[in-house]
Amino acid sequence: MTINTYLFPRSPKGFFICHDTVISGQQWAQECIALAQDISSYKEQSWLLYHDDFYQYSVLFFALLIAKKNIVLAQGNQSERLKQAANFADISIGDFELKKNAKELIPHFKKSINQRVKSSLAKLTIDENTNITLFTSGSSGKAKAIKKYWYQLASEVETLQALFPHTKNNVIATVTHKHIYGLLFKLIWPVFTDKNIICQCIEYPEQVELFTQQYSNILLVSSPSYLARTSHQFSSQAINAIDEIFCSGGALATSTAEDFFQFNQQAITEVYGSTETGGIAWRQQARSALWQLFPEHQVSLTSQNTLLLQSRFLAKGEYYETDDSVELNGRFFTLLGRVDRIIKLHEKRLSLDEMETKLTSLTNVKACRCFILDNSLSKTTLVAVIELPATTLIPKSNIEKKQLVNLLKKALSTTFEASLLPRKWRFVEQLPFNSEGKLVKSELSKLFK
Amino acid sequence: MADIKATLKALIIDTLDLEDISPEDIIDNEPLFGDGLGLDSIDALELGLAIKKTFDVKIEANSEKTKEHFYSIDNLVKFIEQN
Repeated sequence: MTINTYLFPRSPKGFFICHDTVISGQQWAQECIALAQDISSYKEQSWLLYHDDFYQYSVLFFALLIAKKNIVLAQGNQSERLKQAANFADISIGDFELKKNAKELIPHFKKSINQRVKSSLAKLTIDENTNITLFTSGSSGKAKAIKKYWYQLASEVETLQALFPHTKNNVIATVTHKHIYGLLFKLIWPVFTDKNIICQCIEYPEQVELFTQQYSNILLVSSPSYLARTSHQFSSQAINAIDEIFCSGGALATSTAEDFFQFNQQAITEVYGSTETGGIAWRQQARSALWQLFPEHQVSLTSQNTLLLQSRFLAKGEYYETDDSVELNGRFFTLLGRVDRIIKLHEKRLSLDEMETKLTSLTNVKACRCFILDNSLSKTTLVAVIELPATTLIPKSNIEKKQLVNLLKKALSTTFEASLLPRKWRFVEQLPFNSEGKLVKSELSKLFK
Repeated sequence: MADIKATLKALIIDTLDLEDISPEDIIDNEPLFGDGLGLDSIDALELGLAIKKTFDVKIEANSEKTKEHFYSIDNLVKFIEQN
């Protein structure tokens, strides 16, 4: 099927399955249109959107799109994240009740009770230049805003549909709708292709099991961390109901890919990309470990062996240099690893520079190093080594250490979500620089033995 | 019941390899996930697998109920006792 991503789908044939309620695509579209009429009577052009509930979020997102408003998607609801996002917006909409910070900066949308003058929305088109701003960890040590035009997202959805035309009818996701992957795979692509969407975000394999009893032809949108932990958890009945698995956010362990293929006869489709670039390449490890570029993407290699990318998913005329070095062979490549200090923790991107900058801005932190402790294959633990300005400040008991750790965690939590904070901490008089003045990871790791 | 609580807390600390957190830091009626202990959905998944194995309980497919069961130590104890 060909899709028109510039025309709002007035009556998608898919359903929204929200717990015990099933909402038809038609009803969903009517809600979007009604809200869009309200929204378009506002003069504000840039709207900060945050909502934990997928269904509400989907209505707000499409209402803003058809009202031709620019959308700013907050990365998280931590006060500083919201404040930063609010700088890019004129007004906020969504689930902000508990978070006052953004509201202090910009007004909040209130559904009009009185009959306002409704502007007519005869043409339910989506403007190609409407933009959507997402936030992601940047190498500068600050979260950076990524502005995407609708035509970029539209190109990506069209490409996905062309590449994977037989994707199944019922979409279940274990990933959040607030990041680009969930936004594309759980919301935009399914809506334009008449899929049923299971609204709730899945946490346990048992929940997947429940849906596999009720639905077949399931498309599971998931992540490497989730799949690695569940490869042996699904029943054969569940596996039979799951027809297709997409995985993105990081590289899927080969052992997980093999497990799914061996026990479940599932070839997982992995998509490699980033918030900035959208999808770059895809692979099914059961067939080949090489990544295959999306059609029409043009790449060349930089001196650091990173990819210089040109694609329809980028803004017109833009190039993008990826942070990963690769071994390129025609339209195929092997990923060799990141060249910068942005890490993935359970698929969430985190700038170690940003965290270290924040830590060293605190009194009594002279210097610090945050890094991933490689202790086992499946576990990635973020740890921090803190250099204190005086030996006397080094905690002498577990209680003292705990107090200090809690203080530092509290300071970080205004910027970072709690699950991204270092899990283990060490306090030293001096960071273990080697004779060349470098911090060697093996030396730092010894502190955690 | 006190036994289950102690076992659960030890299981959480052990499974998720939490340092600087002792059993008494895990408050019986406070949320386990989100801001409190800084645990995320992958931690929830790991903990779910560990609890299933240790206590031989069945995790409900109803996500609202499961969320409620995993909300706090108190809720988990109730859930395990009912199973």
